[in-house]
Amino acid sequence: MEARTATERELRDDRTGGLPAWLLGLAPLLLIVAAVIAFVALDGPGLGERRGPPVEQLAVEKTVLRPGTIEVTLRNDGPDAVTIAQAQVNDAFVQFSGADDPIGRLHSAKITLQQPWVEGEAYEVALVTSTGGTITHEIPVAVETPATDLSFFGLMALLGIYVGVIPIALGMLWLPWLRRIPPGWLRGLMALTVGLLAFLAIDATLEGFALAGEGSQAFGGAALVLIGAAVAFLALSGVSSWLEQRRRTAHAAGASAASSRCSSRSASACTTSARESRSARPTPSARWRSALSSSWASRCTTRPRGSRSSLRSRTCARRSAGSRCSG
Amino acid sequence: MPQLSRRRLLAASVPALGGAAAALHSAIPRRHPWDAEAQAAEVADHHAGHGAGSGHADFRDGQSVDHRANGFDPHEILRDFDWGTTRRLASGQVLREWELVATETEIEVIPGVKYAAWSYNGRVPGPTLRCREGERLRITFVNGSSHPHTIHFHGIHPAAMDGVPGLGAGEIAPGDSTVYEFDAQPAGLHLYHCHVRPLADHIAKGLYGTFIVDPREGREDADEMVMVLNGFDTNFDRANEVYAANSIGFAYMNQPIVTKRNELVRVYVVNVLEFDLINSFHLHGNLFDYFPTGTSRTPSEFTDTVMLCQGQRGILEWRFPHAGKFMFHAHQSEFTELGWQGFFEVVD
Repeated sequence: MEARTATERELRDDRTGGLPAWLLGLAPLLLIVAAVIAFVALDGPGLGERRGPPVEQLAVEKTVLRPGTIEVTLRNDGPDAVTIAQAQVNDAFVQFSGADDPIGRLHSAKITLQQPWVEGEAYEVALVTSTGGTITHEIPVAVETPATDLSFFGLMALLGIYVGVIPIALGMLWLPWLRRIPPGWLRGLMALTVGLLAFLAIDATLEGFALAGEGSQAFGGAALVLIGAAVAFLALSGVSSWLEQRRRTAHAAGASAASSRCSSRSASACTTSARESRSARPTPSARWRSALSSSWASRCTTRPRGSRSSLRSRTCARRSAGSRCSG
Repeated sequence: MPQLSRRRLLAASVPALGGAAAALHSAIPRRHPWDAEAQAAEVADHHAGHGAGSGHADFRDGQSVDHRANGFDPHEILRDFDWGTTRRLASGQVLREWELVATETEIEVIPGVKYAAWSYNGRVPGPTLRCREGERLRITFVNGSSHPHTIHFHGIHPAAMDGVPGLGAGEIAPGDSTVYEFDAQPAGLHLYHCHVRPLADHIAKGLYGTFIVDPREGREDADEMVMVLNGFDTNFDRANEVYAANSIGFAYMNQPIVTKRNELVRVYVVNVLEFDLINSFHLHGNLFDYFPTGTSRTPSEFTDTVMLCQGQRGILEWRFPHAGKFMFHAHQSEFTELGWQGFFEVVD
């Protein structure tokens, strides 16, 4: 055993000249650091100076119309600083404030143009840069921007209730009926729900890409939509996983103390405990109730262990092999 | 205690990461809409009692370009007539000579915006060459730029003196020079410009000027001015970003042209505007006698607006009976509010 180890080490040392392993690991890293420092210090030798006029790129992030003014928020998503010299609206020079200094790369600036705009009409803002270039921004239909006051947020909340709360609440009213319909019907309705969710997912993605394409691309643009979706998915999975863990821990503790708690505490505590224990062996309708109110992703992980349903097995089998419900 | 597996750690850390990302995003400095109202009010205050708050279109805060750095001032160009140098030939004819040098000149055409212009003698428009009918004219042209150029004069002259490629000296290569020589005729208001392809570029970049041939008997004494109507395409989209009389937009807005009441005003108007089909001259509070091309002593019209295509020109004559400020501008509103407007200030 020892003789064999010695032979291996000898072979290794023969190839590496007897240098210690940590040095072999560290040397390339140090060389990379040295190369980067040298490259920066010498200002990229061999790459040369960029020729031609500076690249001027400004993205309009926001347009706010107030009586007599058009306010434009700009983001420089090009490589060079941009200096706005003058501004034109619909082929006429206009007075404006803001952007007194050059706008650096990735920096933003807000300019307010004095323009007696007319509701419903179209406007083209042209910003003349110090090199004589123009950056144009079209306002297809001028409408006053709503003020972000309490009533605005109230309106937004109302819209949220319209699209997010009322339809879900109404949908939940079908639960008693769903509990009694034949499994075939249930499968059909579930298929419809899945199709609807898939449509919404595709529609939201496309709209996300369209919106991302309009603004500055400096911070990722369309890629940000995908990253956002992935982060949201992982966040929901994380929360779901954490809730499941907590419930299981509570259930394990609750089961061992159930008898003593029932005798010593109020009836409500026992009722809760009883409900928890019942959910460990769910009836088919209870399972679907749970399914209807949770997403595909969370369904497989929040489902209690040990339950058996042919439909559920098939559903989960189509998902990744690591899914907990496959066990 | 729940067991800490790698997957669980990843899953649990995601919300924290998302939160951190959101916090980072909100840390990016942003302004709020309610800042705008205060700012708009500030702007309104700022412009009250300011030239830019006059209610007319203008550059930001009534700014003007740096005339000194440009090397020419539209207020000086206005009444600057270059008579050249003269001597009498053996035949008794007067020989009038000029030297014109084509150079590449960076000029500020809009406050804060530099434009790589091409010029004759470092100014746009080039010098206003003025002579009398029947004189012998000798113009030495030196090409000091890095592109071939010519000087093509309007008027009556031999083909070899026409200043176009392929005739006479043809294109004058960088560093080369030539002499254009011909008799001054006919009397009237003419122009000169480079005639090398691409023509639009060579003209639009500034190679043009006014060429006035006075009639033998002269014209009535007047407060004479020259206005070359032009514009600049600073972003090379074959449309002008700024319009003007004598190159600098709004120059006569912020500093009016002072004239005397009841004095005869004579304006030599030459349109060289590139990219736009027509241009025009409109006078406020008055009408003028219009002499197209200045070749006839009888006005063709008594009007307040004339329309000119590129190369078209005419002499305008009038007297201001009232003191005060009177506007003049293109009667294409677009050109007006993109720079081509000004004021006459009539004083007693």
